[in-house]
Amino acid sequence: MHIRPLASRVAALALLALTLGAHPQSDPDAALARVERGLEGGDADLVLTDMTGRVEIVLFGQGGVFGRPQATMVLRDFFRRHPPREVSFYEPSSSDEGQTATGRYSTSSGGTPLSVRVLHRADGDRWELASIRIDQRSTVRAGGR
Amino acid sequence: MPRSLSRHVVIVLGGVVVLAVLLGVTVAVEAWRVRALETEDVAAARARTVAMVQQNVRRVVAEMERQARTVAALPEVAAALASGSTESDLPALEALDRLRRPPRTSVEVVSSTGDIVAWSGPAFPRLTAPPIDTLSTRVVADDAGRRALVVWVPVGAGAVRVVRVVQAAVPVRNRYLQDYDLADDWRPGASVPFSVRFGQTGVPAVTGPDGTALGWVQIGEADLRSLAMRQRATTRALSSWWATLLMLWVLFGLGDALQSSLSRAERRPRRRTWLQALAMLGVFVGGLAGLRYGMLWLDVPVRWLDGARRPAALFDPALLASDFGAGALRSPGDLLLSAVAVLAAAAAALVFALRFAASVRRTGRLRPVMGIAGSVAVPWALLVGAARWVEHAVLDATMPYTDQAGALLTGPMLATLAGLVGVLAACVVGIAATVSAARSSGGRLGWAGPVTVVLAVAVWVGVLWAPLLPTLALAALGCALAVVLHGRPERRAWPLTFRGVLVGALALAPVLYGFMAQPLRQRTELLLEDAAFAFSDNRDDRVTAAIDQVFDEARADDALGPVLLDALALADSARRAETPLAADSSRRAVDALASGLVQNSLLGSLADVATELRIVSPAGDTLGGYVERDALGQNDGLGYNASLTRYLERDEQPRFLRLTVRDAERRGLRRTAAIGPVLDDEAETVAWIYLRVTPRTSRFPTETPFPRVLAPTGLFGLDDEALGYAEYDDGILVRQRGPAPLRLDSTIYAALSGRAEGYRRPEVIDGRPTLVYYERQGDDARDVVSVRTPAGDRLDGLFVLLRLCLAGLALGAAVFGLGLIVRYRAGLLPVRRTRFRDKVLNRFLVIGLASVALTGVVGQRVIVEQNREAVRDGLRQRLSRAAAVYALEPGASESARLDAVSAALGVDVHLYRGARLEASSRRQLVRQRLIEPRLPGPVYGSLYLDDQPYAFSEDEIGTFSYTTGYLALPDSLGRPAEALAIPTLSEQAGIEAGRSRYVAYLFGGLLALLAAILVIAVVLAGQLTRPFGRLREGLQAVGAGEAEEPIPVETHDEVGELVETFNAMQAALAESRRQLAEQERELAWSTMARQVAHEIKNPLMPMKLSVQHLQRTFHQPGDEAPPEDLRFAGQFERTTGMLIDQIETLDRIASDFSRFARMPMRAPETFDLSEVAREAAALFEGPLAESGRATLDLDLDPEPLAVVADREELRRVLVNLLTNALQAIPEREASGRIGLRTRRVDGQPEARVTDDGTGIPAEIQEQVFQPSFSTKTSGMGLGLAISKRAVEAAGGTITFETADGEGTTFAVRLPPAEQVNGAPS
Repeated sequence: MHIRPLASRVAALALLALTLGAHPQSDPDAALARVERGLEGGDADLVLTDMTGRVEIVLFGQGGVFGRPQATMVLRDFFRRHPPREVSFYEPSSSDEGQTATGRYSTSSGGTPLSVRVLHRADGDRWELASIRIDQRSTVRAGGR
Repeated sequence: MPRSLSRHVVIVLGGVVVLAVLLGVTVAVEAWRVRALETEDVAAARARTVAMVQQNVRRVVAEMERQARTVAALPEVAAALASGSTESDLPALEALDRLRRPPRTSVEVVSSTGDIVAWSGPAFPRLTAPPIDTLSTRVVADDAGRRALVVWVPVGAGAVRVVRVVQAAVPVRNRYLQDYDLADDWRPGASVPFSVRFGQTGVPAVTGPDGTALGWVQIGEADLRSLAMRQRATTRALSSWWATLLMLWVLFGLGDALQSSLSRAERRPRRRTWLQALAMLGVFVGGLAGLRYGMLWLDVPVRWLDGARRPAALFDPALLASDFGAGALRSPGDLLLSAVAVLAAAAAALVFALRFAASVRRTGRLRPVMGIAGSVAVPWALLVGAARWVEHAVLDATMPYTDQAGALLTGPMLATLAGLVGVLAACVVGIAATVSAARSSGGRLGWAGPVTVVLAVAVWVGVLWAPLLPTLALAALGCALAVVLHGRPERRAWPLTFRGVLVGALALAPVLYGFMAQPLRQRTELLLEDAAFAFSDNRDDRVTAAIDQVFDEARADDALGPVLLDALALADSARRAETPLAADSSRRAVDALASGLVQNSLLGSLADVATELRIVSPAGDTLGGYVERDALGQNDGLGYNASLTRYLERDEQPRFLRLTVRDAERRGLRRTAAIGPVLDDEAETVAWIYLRVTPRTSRFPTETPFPRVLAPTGLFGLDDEALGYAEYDDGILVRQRGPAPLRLDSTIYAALSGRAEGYRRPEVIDGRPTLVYYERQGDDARDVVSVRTPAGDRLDGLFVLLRLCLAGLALGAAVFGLGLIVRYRAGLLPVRRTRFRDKVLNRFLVIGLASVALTGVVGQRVIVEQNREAVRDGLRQRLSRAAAVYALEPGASESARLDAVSAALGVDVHLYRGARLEASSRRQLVRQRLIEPRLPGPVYGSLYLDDQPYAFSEDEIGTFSYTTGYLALPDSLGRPAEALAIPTLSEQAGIEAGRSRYVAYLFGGLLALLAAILVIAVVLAGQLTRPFGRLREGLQAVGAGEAEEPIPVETHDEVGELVETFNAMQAALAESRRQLAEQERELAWSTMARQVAHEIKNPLMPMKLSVQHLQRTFHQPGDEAPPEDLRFAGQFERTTGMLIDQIETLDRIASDFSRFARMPMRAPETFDLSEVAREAAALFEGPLAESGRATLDLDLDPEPLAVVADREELRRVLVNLLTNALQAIPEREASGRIGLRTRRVDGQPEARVTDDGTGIPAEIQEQVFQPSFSTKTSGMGLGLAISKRAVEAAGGTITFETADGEGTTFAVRLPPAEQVNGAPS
């Protein structure tokens, strides 16, 4: 199992406190970077830093819209079963109302990397984490093309 | 230390040591193995993995061969092949349909000519068929990208082809659809991560039995680190076993210690020993908490149950997870385990409280203040904790508690609901323990104190913290349990009995529903708000997700690049007008690619949006595209050029740019466009993909409803079929999903005109209660979004209650099973004594439960059958209408005709020609192979071979089940040539919900019936067994020799007769007992009288003679004697006279005793009763005259009344009665009257002596004939006793009648002499 360094936890908590108590983050890249660091460190709290109300998490095609407690547990369970080794996002797609980023999630077990899709929504000056979808590319492609 | 205790300690400590050693060894081995890993181990692991894959593939192929030979052995199949026919064979089709087929497997029977004569399962293309007599194994791919192993087995005159899908991808993933990979089953045992590339060439290769290459094994990034991690995972699974066992063993030891401390406290009840037991209870509860949180820390048992990708459903946090209780509720299974731990702790507390309560009666009491304080704090904490627990289990969950479609109870839902019932049960048990302890500690307060306090606390808690009614009910149940158990050791195990768990489950289920009601409402409101947010401001996450899908697919599509490069080249040529034909061909290829990108994404399934996709060269030439109706828009801000400009203006160019714009003409509607580059290997832009999505307004017809099986998971509730959406602008509907009112009434705007952004209210839509949420868009209330969901009605409540009852009964069954062990160990089983009432009650309950279960099973089958028939009837009607619509435009293309049918009827429709699917209105499903392109064998047989007009099949897409109806369409000659098919895809959820509603009605009624049976059983058992209880009490009284009143006869059946018989027997026994007592008393009196007579009479005669001698020897003084002598002489004469009188009185008394005690020496003779009466009257005349108080009336029967008796004795009897009569007449002015009368009454001579004296008081009437009884001042009271004995010795009876103040009549009745002598005298 991947052991999260203490510093990472402290940083996550500090970031969480700053996020909740300070001026809302306005940089979508920073929000995505937090998700990336959180995923790579197996830190559910850091991943959910920019979540405000409820977040959609879909893992391998199953999931739903969760409040923070359940979302945290869902991610922790995912990290337990798929301990991360490296996470990287491609160039995101964007619009005036949000940003979608797709990336690779490599596991410590060395299997085929998973695909990650993260959606942030713009809510005023704030970029709110709206959705995380993690899936596995199948060995064959739907549609057969 | 007692020997048994020391043995337990040794066992516990020994187990702890052994497990600790095993744990340590496992950890050490893990560390050693990880350190010892070398690079060569990676290569060895790779080799092992490849060998494992090869072995598994060979095993699968061998299974398929066996399947083929099983099919070949079927007589119908053999006959079909032997006939040499090339047509499909109905018996063979039916035989294959009956044969059990593994999932994802199909079987085809091929004739010698290569024709398929019978089949079962999905179709897969046949490549170049091997020779008919050659065994071979191949991998085949279809046009949907699925790959399958194919085994071709020659049999007789043909061959059997078995196909097994080994890899398949689905277009969307949700709870019904998931990718399939056969290799997933093999991964848990693999040393390194791998993929099997079936149908591809590579190294190391995987081969079939005939050496054919079937694919190759791709090994993942296997290195020392990943290998070490896998080894750690394996050994940690084992070490977590040891750690869990160790914790369980320690807890077992703590339980044993608690039991010992309780026993010690009971044996030596001191304050110190009980405090020690209390401390031990705390340690045990702490141990339980340690075990539970230790398991959470170790990720046990979820660690042992993990699937390849997702956790086991029972421990899936996506269904339920909360931070309440520091992780104790992090999944449904964990909730259940936590509830079990809490229940065990509460049970231990109750056992402590009850044993303490039984002991303190003897040993005094603890401080009342502590008891009362505990009874305030503990129930408060328990009630608040239970309410919070349930609240989090509802709010922090996506579990479909109220969903009526699908299974009634899934494993996770059963675990959750059973766990919640367990939590409430623990709360009840905890309150009972507290009340019982408070009762014991509270001194004189008794029950009133704790019960009042608990109820007051419950009220307080209810008002402030938790729902009132369920909280009160929970507190009342706790108090009731305490009342039932407190001070009754024989009832301690009652909660573990069959009736205990049954009552508990049925009582707690409605209480739990009361706790869940409010959080369920809150969750619905949150869902509405989420959905409104996702739908608001023209945001549509379905479109966003679909656009992502398109661009992701374009990036991953290997075919796109070469086709685009060809198209670019041809576009240049076409611009130069060199190769117009080739350009057309290239454009068709690009069109196909564009169509595939759209149709294989979610966009292809969304009926309320229109899509345009263009692929444009960097020079601006449109290489190809795909355009749906209503999709073409103006060249406005979302046009290609504007979008490209916006994209290029970005500093950091994204993968694609998504733009939205509000349509000025269509208020409230906003179109979305996206543009992004297609890059080659050098990151140069090959082409641009431009995508525009335009919502269709409500003025446009909505097509077939979108089936939930095609919706990706999530989308903020937008995939929930139960939700309906609408957007209004100035009160006018501008877009919608599902039926919605065309206008908004003014009250909505009034409600939203204030500060509130949202407004929620119940409405009735289509006669169904509905909860509607309105949300204002922007600062003014001009634009409003509404989301609707069916409001929970009573039936929904009944459905949830049904689930709760079933979960409660499941938990109750587990508790009962555990209770059997506990009761057996406690010596309560087998039961030594069973109350008859309990046996009757148990049988009633068993019969009731069996009846309810049987009715439920049969009723559910009936409902399922009726529902299926209703679905089929509906399909028949639709198929008939579909055939009529289909026939309207015979000249149009098949696809157009099917589209017309689909639009007219609002259903999907397919067309089959022969067994092959020709066209469909839901082309996406066909393209993705979610609908099979070949008719199921039995359907083909029914329609084409058996000439049936209709046929039906039960089909599946993933795990989504639905029904398809088929209608044969005849050709001009009346022969079936085609078939229309309509599936219930999009309405399946409604069908299931309807069926579930009927099931809910049925089971709701059955639950009510079960409750009624429970009550009636209790009442009936009481009524039936009450007479037996009284009989038992009567028998016990008889056995104890106690007098007992007759048992009232309440029934007129066998039981009543039994009671009457018992009463008669009891009366006879009482009479016998009375007679026996009388005889014993008389015998005692006789013995005493004989001795008294003997002792008194002996000295009387010498005394009398001496006094008489004195009288004779005394010389009377003469007249001249001195006066003193004269006075002495007088005195002497009076004294001696008195002495003689007294001696004679004593003599008479002694004679009476003597007569009473004398053994009968009677001389029976026959005489006339009247004559003896006359003699007695004569003897009585002297005393009568002497008294002067009465006169005697003699009335003798003129006829002789012959009797047989001792004449002298009978005369004394009559004299005695006459004397008593005289003595009963008080001193008065009027003379009394005594009568002596003889008559024959009822054939028997009778003498009656009457008086008009004082009568005999009622309280002494029973003692009249007893010896020693007398109301006279003289005599020994033996007269009537002697008389009774004399009369009864003559075979007669003596009775009396008396009235207070009016007189008494004694009747002596004797048997007639004729009867005694046997002949007339």
